[in-house]
Amino acid sequence: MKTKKTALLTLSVVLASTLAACGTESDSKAPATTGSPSEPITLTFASWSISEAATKPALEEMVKNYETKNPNVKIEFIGIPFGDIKQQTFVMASTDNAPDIMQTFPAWFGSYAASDIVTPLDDLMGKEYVDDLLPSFKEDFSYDGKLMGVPWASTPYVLYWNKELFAKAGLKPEAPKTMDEMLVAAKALSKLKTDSGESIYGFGEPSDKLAINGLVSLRNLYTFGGSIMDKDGKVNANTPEMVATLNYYKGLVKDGISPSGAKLKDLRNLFSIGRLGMYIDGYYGKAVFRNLSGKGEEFDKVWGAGLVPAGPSGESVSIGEAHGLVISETSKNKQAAADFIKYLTDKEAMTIYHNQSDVFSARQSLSGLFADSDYDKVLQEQMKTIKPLPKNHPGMEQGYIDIADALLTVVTETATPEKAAEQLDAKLKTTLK
Amino acid sequence: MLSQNQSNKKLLPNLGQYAGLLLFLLFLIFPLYWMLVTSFKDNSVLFKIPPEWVPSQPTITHYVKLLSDNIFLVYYKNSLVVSASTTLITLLFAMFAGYGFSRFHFKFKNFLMFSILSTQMLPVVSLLIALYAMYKSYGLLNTQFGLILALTTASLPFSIWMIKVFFDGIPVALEEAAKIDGCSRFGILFRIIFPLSKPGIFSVGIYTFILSWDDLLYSLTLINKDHLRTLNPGISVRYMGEVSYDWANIMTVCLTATVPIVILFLFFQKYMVAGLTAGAVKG
Amino acid sequence: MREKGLGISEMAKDRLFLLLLIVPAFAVLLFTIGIPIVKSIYMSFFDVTLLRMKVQPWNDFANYAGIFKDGEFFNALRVTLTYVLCIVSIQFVLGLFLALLLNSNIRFKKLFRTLILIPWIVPTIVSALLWMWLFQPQYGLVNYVLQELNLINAPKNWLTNLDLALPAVIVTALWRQLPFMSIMLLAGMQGISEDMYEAARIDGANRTQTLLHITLPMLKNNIKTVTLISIIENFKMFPLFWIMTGGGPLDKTTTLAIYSYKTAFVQLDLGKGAAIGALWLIIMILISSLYNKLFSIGEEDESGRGKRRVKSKSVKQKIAA
Repeated sequence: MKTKKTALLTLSVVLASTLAACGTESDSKAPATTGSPSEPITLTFASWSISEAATKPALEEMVKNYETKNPNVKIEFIGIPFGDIKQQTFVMASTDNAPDIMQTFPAWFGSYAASDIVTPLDDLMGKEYVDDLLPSFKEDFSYDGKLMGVPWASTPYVLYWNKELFAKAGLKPEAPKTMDEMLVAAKALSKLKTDSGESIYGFGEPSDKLAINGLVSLRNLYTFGGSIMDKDGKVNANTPEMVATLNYYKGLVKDGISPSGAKLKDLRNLFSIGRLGMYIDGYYGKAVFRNLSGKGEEFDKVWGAGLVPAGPSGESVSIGEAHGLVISETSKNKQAAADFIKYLTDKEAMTIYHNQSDVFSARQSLSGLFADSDYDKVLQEQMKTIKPLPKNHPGMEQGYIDIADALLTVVTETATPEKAAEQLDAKLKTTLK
Repeated sequence: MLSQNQSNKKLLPNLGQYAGLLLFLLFLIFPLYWMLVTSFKDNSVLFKIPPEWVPSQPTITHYVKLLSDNIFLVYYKNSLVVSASTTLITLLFAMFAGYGFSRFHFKFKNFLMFSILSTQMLPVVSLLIALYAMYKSYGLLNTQFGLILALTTASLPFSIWMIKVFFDGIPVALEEAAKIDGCSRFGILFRIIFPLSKPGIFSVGIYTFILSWDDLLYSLTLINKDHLRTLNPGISVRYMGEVSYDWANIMTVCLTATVPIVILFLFFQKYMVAGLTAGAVKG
Repeated sequence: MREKGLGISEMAKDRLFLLLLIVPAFAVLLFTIGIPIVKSIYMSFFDVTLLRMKVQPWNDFANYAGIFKDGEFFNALRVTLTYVLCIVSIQFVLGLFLALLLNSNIRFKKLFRTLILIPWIVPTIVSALLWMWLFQPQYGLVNYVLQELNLINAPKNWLTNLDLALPAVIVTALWRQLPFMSIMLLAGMQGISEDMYEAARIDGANRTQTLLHITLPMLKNNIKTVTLISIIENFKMFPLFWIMTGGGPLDKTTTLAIYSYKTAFVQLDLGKGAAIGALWLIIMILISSLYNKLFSIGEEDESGRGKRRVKSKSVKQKIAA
């Protein structure tokens, strides 16, 4: 009988405790009301930036300020990793559990825009706000003529170059201005070795099969004067410009100038430890370099930023990247959410964010705001030359993945650039129809 | 003559055996050492080639940073609660079902056993969406109970099977004797079978605990309230980061996540090995 | 508990008891696996996408047709089968070898047994991250050590090289799973009585012969159990591939698990994802039936113990054994 009693006791304890845990923890979030502004509202905000050490403090500060100013509003973060946030939010939406606000990334923004889980923002944000957005960003976050996401934490892609390595290779102490100059410098840099004899890459481009790399490669495509659509807006990726771009990627890896199949993460790491001479990135660079080099602010002196080297057109071309904030279709507090978003992109919040993470604003009225350091000036300058991304389409994420696939294919020499362009064209025609 | 050969044979193989064992140990243990060492290195020396086998200037900054973040301990506690509960419930249900399958013969028995086992073969991905929707309608989302339930089903099939095998090794005669003595059916189960198969049950329990501790997909999907999160999704959410590979930080988190459960295991491991041994003898 | 005079037959009590025993486990399994599976299979015949969950038209076998047409399924199947075959066989051979070592006359056996089990305790996500760090092409330890030992002459891109990515993941899986396989085999070995080995020695058998004719046959049950567990767990393996390679490069490490995850959650095509799951289920059933036949998991044959029906027989056997 003893063992039986013990067993039963254990069982009941276990069940009781789990039910208790269930009871206390499974309170649904505070009911969102659509009443007057003075009634308490909780806005849920799905974001990956809240989970990243680099951006968490800034977000928390911004939220604290907003809650102080608007005591009836509480912001509840739902931290989801960058790699999972799209599917998690879609799964949540499929069971009517979507967060009020969601942070999205351009590579998969199209999926949100074309789905039935987000709501158009033109009326919620107001015409004045919408017209204030930089045209390129406005286009990137519109669908079917409507604004579906608000660009936040925007940045252009600029060139980073390592001054010490340049000096070591005997190059002029300035960022290369054209593609040709850049390639010459890159080749010289790749001949260098570190103090312990390790190899150095001259210039890195990410070529791993990820949507973001497909997106990033468009910058190169634009530099070569191409696009994945022709002027009628129809998909046409089998163009000389595309082949030129693919050849460019192939050459980089073949000549040992760039690592093969790298992610942007890898390039940042390599740059921080002095094994990469140049690469192109958004604003993320600075904070990462400081951390990974182990040198902190000291490392700022080691590198410089420049405009993206110009291609055959002679002018620097770049792309802009921003996190699109969307409001869910089923949100019960759409206007409150829109107001919060407005705050997040206003001068005060942007200044907090910029000081910690060098983000820029996508609003014209704030475009002159950050121009203190040389670094800021370069970012500022580049912002003027960004071209919009292809029109949003539900299949766009897969499209970016297809492009990245083509990159990896030529870089691993699984197919020639001509063949890869052909295959890419066929794929895109299906994906983006 | 024979003894001479034997003693020669005994000496040489020993050296070879130790060498072989050393190689295995190197493969299995050295990476853990490397994980440890990396967590104590500063970023400025982390990427040095040749690498520092022993850190020249060990630093605990990564640990300070990690542990000053209270949420880590919360994740830890949640993992403990979830894994322990899963183990207890699994063991109980598996013991019952295992006993049933071991002692009784009925129609469709093989089919049932087979179908239970085949649930083990299903990819979690396929179940996730449907499970999520079901949980939503039953209010089980973001509850530890819901997660425990899901993880229990992940461990039940194998546990039932393994326990059944252990029970198979216990002679029925013992039960028959007890029955004649007037012991009830449940009494037989708890008073005779259970004590005899303790090692086996322990080892199944440890296996279940480790399996549920290891879960990632269910924990990531079914719970997204930070204070309820378990350790593995916690690692992936907070410490992986999208911007860069902060290796020293990552290794610090890994080590801190691993050490306590290793200690727990070391405490129980004698049961586990004994259990497996005993079970094997009988099975 | 005394029998109340309700007149319920022993058979009926047995039945009730059996029901009580089996129902809890079944209830749980039905709720969290059975129902979702049925839902999932049902869903595979619809055009369900997370992009617009409000409209879900029936589309026959279109999902299945799509799977067979684009060839990714067969790639994923091939990768999965290759992976499972490699990891289980390598694991078995090395595990056996290690178990033999641990079973021999060396000292500190207990210590070694404990030490080698540690990688198995380490959570999969941790082992994935650890080996990513080791396999890192430019500053990882593997490249450094192999170059120092002159086994390779240039750093390899382990996880981004078309031919090296799968082997790299296999190494990681091996690191984590070898201990368990080894300990299970060891446990089985320790159940083989010394007398058998003594007899073999007297007969003049050498070590290989002993291994092949005594050890392995006696371990048959044990082997079939651990290898089946290994096959099933590795078929399902997700975290290692997702974290280390994301299925790349160029789908060289895209297993069925990765493929179905990507279909359902990246392309947001739940209908197709469910179809892949259904096909996967069929394949698994086929494989385990095959395995079943090979090893005859069926109960009736070998033991014969523990069956209420055949009471006397089992008692006889017990006396005899």
